[in-house]
Amino acid sequence: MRVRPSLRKLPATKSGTRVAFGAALALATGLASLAAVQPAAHAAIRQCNGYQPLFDGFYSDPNPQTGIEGVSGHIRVEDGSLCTIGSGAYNTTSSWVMIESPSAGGLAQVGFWRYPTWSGPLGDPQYFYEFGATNAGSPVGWHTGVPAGSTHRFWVQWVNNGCPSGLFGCFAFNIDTTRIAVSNFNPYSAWGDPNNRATVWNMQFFGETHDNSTDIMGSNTGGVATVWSSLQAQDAGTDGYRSFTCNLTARVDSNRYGLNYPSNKGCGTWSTYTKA
Amino acid sequence: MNGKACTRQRMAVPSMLAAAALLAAGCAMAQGASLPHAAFSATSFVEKAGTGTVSFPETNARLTHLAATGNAAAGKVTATDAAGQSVTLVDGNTAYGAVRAMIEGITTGNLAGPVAGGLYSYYNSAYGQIQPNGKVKLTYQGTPVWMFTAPLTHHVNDAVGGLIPNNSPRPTPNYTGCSFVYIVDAASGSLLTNWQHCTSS
Repeated sequence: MRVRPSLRKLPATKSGTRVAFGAALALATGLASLAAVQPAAHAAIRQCNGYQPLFDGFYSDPNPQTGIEGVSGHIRVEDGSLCTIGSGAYNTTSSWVMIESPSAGGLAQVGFWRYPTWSGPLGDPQYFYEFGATNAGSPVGWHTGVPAGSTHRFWVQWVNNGCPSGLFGCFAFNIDTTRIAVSNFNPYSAWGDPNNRATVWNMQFFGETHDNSTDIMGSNTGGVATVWSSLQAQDAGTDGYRSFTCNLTARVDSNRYGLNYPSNKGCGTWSTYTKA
Repeated sequence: MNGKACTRQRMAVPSMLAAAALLAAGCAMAQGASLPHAAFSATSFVEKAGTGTVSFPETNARLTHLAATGNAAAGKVTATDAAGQSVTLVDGNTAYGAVRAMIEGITTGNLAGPVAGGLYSYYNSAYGQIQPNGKVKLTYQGTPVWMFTAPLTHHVNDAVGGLIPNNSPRPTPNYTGCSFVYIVDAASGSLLTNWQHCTSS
């Protein structure tokens, strides 16, 4: 018998039905093979303009889909150049998957990024995750290094194992078959029921920069666009991952950036990049 | 003696680890007591002979102080790890070399005190390999690491906040008491993870 998530996932029902995770994990993939890559032909601009969040990709708001509690996507990693003159710590370039609560203002995301001052041994893009129950929180980097050209599965998963003490459930931030962190809140408590349209949780799949002179990762030349594929949503009823309705909304915030999505509104394979 | 000279003196005698730690601790106190408005530099760090446990719930991290027992070779120290095994690790200077440029760059004009470093056993209650049953085999359970903390005068807004819902600003916490934290694997000398930690929001 299926139990409504809004009932079994709230803290008051800690002793309730436990959820099988086999279905979700059956979809987990290992490390994708590394591809031989050429350096990206980035349109590097040295002079920064100042803090300005810019996005390139797809999102589900204002087309919310109820009953989604997690998100997943494969991303072929590419790099991006940061502006350097007048740069601040705000100045990053990143690609990520995210689930967020418009009603509560919180988010949970995982992906890869380039951070200011990285060079030498830290030259590759790095994994990162970020979460906040009612705000953006603060990003955390993991420095195993993510070579350009490699493809990985990035997924935010609602789980009820391994959560901080006192929490019945939480978000897990996963890369391929590695869990790198868990959130310090249970979104069912902090965000409400994703089956309820008033408290629906939204998906986002974006490249993001914070300065118009900084590049979105990937380029439209040299075969090094950042490629997104196998996008999935975690079903709030089964906890398994599945395809979702193809009604995402495309968004490109700068004429320096581009987005290719042949015919499927973000549900198939598409790419983000900075124009050469 | 200013803070930079103090740490330089400590860095110049890496073979005298214990004595250096004491000296460094003294340096840290001198800096805080006599030069509250000094401009700090991240070119070097002050070794902190910590005790007890430090927890960072936001990153699922807990660290317990680990004492070096001696010097193995140039750039190396020995210690007894959490499992009771004698291990050879990179010394603090070597570990700091892996992150110094990063810390210097990110704290320019925003360093509230000397960068502190210490040897710890690192526990992470989340990071690990996902097993077929959905549970996780944890990776870092007493891993020797060097932890460096760079105290900040103000919070750095480096959030990757995603698209703003309903075109209204995502709430911004009132972060205070912030510092950048860097965890360097003491076996390999490579950076494992880093984040900005704030004591209240």
